[in-house]
Amino acid sequence: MVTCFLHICTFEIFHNGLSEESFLKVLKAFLDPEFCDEIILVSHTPYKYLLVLSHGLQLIYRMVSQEVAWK
Amino acid sequence: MEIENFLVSLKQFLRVMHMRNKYSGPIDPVFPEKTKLAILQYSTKAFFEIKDSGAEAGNVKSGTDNSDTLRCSLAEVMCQLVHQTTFESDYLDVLMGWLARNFAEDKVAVQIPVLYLVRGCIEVRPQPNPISDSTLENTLRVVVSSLDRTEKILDHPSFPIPVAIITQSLNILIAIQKRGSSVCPKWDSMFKQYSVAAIVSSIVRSTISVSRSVLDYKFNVSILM
Repeated sequence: MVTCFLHICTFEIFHNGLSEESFLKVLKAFLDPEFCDEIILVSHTPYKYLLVLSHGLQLIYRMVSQEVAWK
Repeated sequence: MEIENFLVSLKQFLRVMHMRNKYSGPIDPVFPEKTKLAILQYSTKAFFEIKDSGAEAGNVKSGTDNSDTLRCSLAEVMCQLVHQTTFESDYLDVLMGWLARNFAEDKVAVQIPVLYLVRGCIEVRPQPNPISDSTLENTLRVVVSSLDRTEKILDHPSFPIPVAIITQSLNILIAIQKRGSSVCPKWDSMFKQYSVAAIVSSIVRSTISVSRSVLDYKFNVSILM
């Protein structure tokens, strides 16, 4: 899941000009204990679940990075 | 069946036209804007009426498999057209007003192209025409309730995971967020009002949970073998 998330972040950095500072802020938000233990899912999760995860994480990431509409 | 075949052919024709225009320039005299708009209006009207009236539309009754197939094909034609025409700005208002009342009753097969249609309307919305608050509210109501329903069955093994519904719903939210305040003036406050962050986080967590149970099952089976 984190790889999936990093892929999205990388895409955003190169294509939409996300600053490194914002990227680290978002990454930190995700690397809390609640998310850390899910790393195992990365290479084994069925594609359909990854598809949902990548969309969900992309939206969460977008909201967190703009610091609006989050919680 | 003839109508459905015609709609499938029309959809393919529109797709080819779109690609042809994109890469080789428009051929408007053959397929002018007003014709596309007329097809969009007729398709939308038929899409609503088959559901609304419950009366016969051709040989198709509302609520039957045939009517769902027909409405699914109509929605796919509409999807193609919204990307190719400069449709009137109230089109999305009318569409969302209707969907807010009827979307939940439709089958998944019809809901998927409809969500794709809504996403297309938001993505191609011209800049000077912001989406009205009530339309944005209707959109969020449809999307959030759709995500809410699908999340409830995510961890239920007897249901197939409705990936297309979830991804299209999330794509609509991403489209709204991407268009930002110039097209969706109150998107930020409405995202908060409809607890978008909470429902999306919940979907992600449920998906992780389901993924984990699938992985555990695979792991246990591999040990047994």
